[in-house]
Amino acid sequence: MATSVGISHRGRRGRVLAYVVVIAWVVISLAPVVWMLLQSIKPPQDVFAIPPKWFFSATVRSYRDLFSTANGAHFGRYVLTSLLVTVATAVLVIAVSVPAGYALTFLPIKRRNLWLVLILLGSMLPPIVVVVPLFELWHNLNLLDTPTALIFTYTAMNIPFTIWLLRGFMVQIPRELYESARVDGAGHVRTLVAVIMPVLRAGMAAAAIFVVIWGWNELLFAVFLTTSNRTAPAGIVATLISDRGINWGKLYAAATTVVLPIIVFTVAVQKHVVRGFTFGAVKG
Amino acid sequence: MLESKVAGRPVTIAGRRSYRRHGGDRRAAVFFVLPAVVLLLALVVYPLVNDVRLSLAHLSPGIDEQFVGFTNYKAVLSDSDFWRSVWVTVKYSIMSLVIEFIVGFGLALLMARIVRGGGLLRTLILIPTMLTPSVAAINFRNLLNYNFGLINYLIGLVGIGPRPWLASSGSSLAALVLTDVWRSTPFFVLILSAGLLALSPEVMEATELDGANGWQKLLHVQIPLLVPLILVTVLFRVIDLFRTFDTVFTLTNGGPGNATNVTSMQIYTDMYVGQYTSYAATEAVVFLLLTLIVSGSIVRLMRLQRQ
Repeated sequence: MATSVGISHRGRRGRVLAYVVVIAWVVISLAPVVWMLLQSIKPPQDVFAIPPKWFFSATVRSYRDLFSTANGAHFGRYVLTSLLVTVATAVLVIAVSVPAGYALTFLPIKRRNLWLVLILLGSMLPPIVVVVPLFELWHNLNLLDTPTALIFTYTAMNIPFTIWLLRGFMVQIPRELYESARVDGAGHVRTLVAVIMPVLRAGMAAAAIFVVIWGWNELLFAVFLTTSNRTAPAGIVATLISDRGINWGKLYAAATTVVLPIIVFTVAVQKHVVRGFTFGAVKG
Repeated sequence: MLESKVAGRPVTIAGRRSYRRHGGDRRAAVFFVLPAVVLLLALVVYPLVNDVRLSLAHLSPGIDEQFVGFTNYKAVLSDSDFWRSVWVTVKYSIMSLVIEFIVGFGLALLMARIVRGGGLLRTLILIPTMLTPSVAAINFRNLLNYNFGLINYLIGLVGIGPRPWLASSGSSLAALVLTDVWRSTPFFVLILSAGLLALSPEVMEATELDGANGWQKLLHVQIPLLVPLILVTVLFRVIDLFRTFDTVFTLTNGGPGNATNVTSMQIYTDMYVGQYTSYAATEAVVFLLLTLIVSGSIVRLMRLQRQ
């Protein structure tokens, strides 16, 4: 009895310690994010006051400046381009990767393992390696500086990992499900759409979320392939931090505009993200 | 007779159908992978082939393309700037990886004790991983600014003088590493948490009954059982660390000097600023091979470990 009391005592102290450390990590790691949000609603003249102004009257002036089109600025358009590119990429990646994953899981394919290794290698490609040739390619196709170029580039970059992730989910599906659908005379399209896809929802959600986050955050290709149809992160880098006189309030408003949707999105879909992370790793 | 006809018929049909279906399966497979294959051929394989073509040619503005064999490779392989950038990438990757693993494992062990509020805490932990790296790095750059950064103000409150965080080579690399630690530790936390949860409770209980203390349990039971998962996580992280661009580009731009000039940044500078297209293409090919060697070794390690 004495030992059991001892253990539970130690257990409780351990749990308190766990809460303290984990909460400390959360507070410290979110502090820069909270700081960013606060900066964006300070009056512009207070943004870089040192010592910092902790009490100020919140204002949306920086946002008004940011989205005003008076000086030929286009941040609103950059945000819309980001949205378009992100959503279109996610839809395309899923539309292309689900059938490919289906074929690689259920259908007879020669040298299946070779293909799987190639897909794995594809997901390791450092983007910088293909930037110049892609610039030339889109230039030759006369599609430089269009959302189309970004959408297709992003799609290609995300296909390998997405197929890999989806296959991880698909090999978990009992093969009998596939076989019984086929015996019932369903064609492959029908088997995929009516039988496999309904049980693949979690996998598709996780994959789509990863693509959305990747696309929304992407910088390198956006900087290289666009000059006026920029995405929001490229817009920030190209117009807000390379300017001579930096308007910090505007910069923070822009940063918040890019980051806040991601925070909301993450909180909304965190269950799928966690499952996708662990699945991608465990199935590897 | 009637019976045998009725009974016989479905057999032949089924037989023929299954035969035909098999050929159809192959055709369906081709049809299903085709869109993905076409996109990858056009936008990954073709650019890679182009990289190799460029790397074997002499190409700078105003000069026509001309086959020069391995001249560019010889130049890149003996370029100390290139190798220095590889070294910076390796240093940056290893330091980030070690810290992220230790901190991530620690937090995962602590998370395993948390019951109430665990879901909320996990969501909050996750946030930095999802945020736009370039934007987060711009924020860090301002926080670390010498004159008006919050960090120098805060350490000033406890009597430490301002430090040139991003203007000295040691601390700028440290800042880069810490930015990645901030961003990627959650990845380790999530995966290792899931791994710890999946360890069988019987094994854990048995080790406790054997009188193992916390450290012994960790070193001799938990970590060895988690090695496969740890290796996959390390593989993911190494690939990602090796191609880091956004954070460097916005936080330090490779500087000061070339203290944080990772290979992606080196290639970027050569092709965008210097316009040495062929040279940058050669660097890209060499870099790709280096990446494949490193990740290939980790994959091999995983295979050996599995046996």
